[in-house]
Amino acid sequence: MPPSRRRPIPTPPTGGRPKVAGLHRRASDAAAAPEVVEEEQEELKAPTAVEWTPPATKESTEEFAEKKARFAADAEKTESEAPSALAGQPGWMLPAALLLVAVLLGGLGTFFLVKSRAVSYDAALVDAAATSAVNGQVREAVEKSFSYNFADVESTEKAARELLTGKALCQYNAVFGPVKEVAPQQKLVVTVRVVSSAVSSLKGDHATVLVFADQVTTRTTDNQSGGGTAMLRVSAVDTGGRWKIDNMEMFGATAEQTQQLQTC
Amino acid sequence: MRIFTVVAVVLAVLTFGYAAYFGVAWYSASHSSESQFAATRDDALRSGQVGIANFLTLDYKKVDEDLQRWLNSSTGELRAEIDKDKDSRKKQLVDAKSVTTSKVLDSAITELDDRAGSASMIAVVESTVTPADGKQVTKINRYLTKLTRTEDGWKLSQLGPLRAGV
Repeated sequence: MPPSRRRPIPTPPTGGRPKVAGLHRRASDAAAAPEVVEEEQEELKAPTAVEWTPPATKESTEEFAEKKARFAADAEKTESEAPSALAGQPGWMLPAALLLVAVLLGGLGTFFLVKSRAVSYDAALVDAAATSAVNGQVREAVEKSFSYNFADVESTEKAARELLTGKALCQYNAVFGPVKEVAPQQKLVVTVRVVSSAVSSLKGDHATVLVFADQVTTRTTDNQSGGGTAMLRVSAVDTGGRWKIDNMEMFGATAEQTQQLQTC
Repeated sequence: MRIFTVVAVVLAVLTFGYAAYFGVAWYSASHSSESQFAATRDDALRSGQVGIANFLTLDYKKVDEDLQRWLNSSTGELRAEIDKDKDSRKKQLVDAKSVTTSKVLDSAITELDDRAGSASMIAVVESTVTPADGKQVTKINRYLTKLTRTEDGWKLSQLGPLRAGV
């Protein structure tokens, strides 16, 4: 190691003997040179440490004597370690240790990779645009398919076919079937209005929306009207840009309604 | 032997880069503003659910405890309201001699303003009222509540049923 070899060079001048310092440098360089050729570069440290110490003794001032003693001790240490290191730790130790480190880092990296992929959150409200799209389309679907005018049956059925899908279609028929039967005779007008709704979950192309709706039913034959409230948990699925309802759960449904829904 | 050392060094450096890259990716994914906003939403939702259940649960035998719990889970307008007519409310509850327990069946945040620390929530609540000398009745109601963030987390600042025709 060059620094350790150079360190003693400035010290002799403080001792007031530049000539000796010059000598000493040449001597140590000359002595070290053959060693370098034989040994590997890493082992350079040991021989140089040994080489420069004896010359230092010649010019020893009081301070230098102390230093010398310390360096000599160090040199002895490295001297005793170096050969055993060579014998006990063959050249494969370093690559093996590095390989182990590489394997550990590879494992750690893979762990991080899996973890970073697994980070997921529910996009409800986070993705404002998608949330309001789901919310608006589900509201519209509920209002359109559950509002009913005996004079215009076709538009309700069309809305239901377009805005509901899968299981929800069956549920719709189960709930709305009985209404449709009596509707023409009683000249029913059913108006459903969503009072409040919120997206409770939004993951990819699946969403869950909590819908609070009011229902006003008017029997135009005798102008009797009644109202009710409904609370629905609606599942919606994105079908190419349009969110369609694919499942409905009603809170506080009557036993009769629950029975009708169970057939689906 | 030297070639192995070189290969091992290259491998170690590459795997270090790999680990560092995905370490950073994981950190930034889990600390993104989106996931923090989602965490805030979930926090508000949870507090709202607990708050509503607290407010709709009462026992005429331990009215003081109930009122204190109401005060603890409310803030602002709602808290002031309860605090103002605490005594008349207390008398009312004791005279009613009924026990009400409630649980939130489903709820969702309708609006969330992270910066202002305010949120709105709707909830479906099942309440069971047991009069001292009568048959217990179970009802399902819908509620709208406003939440405000305080130093002790989210608290209810408004609570009311959403009746038909609202």
